Amino acid sequence: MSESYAELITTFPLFQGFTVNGTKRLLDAGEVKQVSAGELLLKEGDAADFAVLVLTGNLEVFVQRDGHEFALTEAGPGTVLGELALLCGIPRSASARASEDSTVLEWDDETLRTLLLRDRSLAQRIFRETLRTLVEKEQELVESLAKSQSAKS
Amino acid sequence: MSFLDSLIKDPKYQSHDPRKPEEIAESDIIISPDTRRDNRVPHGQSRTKRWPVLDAHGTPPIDLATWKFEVDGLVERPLMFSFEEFTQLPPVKVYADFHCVTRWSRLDNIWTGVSTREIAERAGVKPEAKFVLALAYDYGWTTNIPIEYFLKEDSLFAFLHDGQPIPPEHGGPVRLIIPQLYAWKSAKWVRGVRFLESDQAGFWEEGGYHMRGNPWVGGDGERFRW
Repeated sequence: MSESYAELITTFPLFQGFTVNGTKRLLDAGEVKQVSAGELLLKEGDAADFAVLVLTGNLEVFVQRDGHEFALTEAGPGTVLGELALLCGIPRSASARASEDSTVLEWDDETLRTLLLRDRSLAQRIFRETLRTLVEKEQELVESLAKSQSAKS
Repeated sequence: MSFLDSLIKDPKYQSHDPRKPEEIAESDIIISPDTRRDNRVPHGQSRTKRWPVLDAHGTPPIDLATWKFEVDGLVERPLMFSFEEFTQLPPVKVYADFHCVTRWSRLDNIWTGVSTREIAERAGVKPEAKFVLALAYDYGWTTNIPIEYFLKEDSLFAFLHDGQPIPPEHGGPVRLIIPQLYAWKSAKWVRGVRFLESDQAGFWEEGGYHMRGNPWVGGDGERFRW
């Protein structure tokens, strides 16, 4: 099974250029976990002590306010989740729940830090992806602010 | 110890400007051709006066009494040397710069060791060998090098840096030095080389690092395969 996940990771854009031996090391550094449909994987406000790479399935990322859930995004295969809170040392900014039976590769805090410290290429890839996501979110926020402003005027 | 003190007491700290190749007094020294460039720092790199330490697994324990160096693969005569035998091979000295893929360049280094050409000649490398896999003592670490770079005149297996034994954290007792490629191709703690017909990704190359790693081409150098 590990072999097929190793093959699978080489197909993710974030890991372009990795060989199967290279992705095997990523797998060996972490733990593959099954997440059943409906199961909560990350909880908003919790301390962040691990990050995941989605291998199969799909997760919905959401926040809860006044008893209502607001969907933020979906995370499919090849997406890294939970790394931002871990790297910033802040609580989880959102929750993530499996919308179907899914598989994730989980790295604990220390392992991910070691991977990124030793492998500058991987660090560059992850930081670039994380920052890209943040910039997109900021752009969405600006657009939504502009819309609500023009609705008022 | 203050930060300034730590700089002063760092034996590898360079308080001087890099010398020009023509200022190197020794007559028997091989001058790495990239040191003759007008701008010795490749695009995207910055000069460091220090010598940062980077590795995949940390410094491995190495016992000189059991240290050995092996040459195999596409050769007429597989070789094995003890440390004593290896350091008695005819020595060469190379004046070279050193460019790390993490964007620092350490200029003005003098390496002493055994020429890669000496090893290749003794082993009788077969004509079909086109690549070299360097094997290291740190837990199976490897790196792959095109044979034409391995056999450059300024490539060597070094055991001295600026006249002193290479410190363990910098890859001693013996480090492969390929000045014309990024420094990860200069395998620390080298324990041998294997000559191959086809290219075989080494440790970092398996993680998407460039198969050749020339800092002088491709705009920003051949860093990664992504």
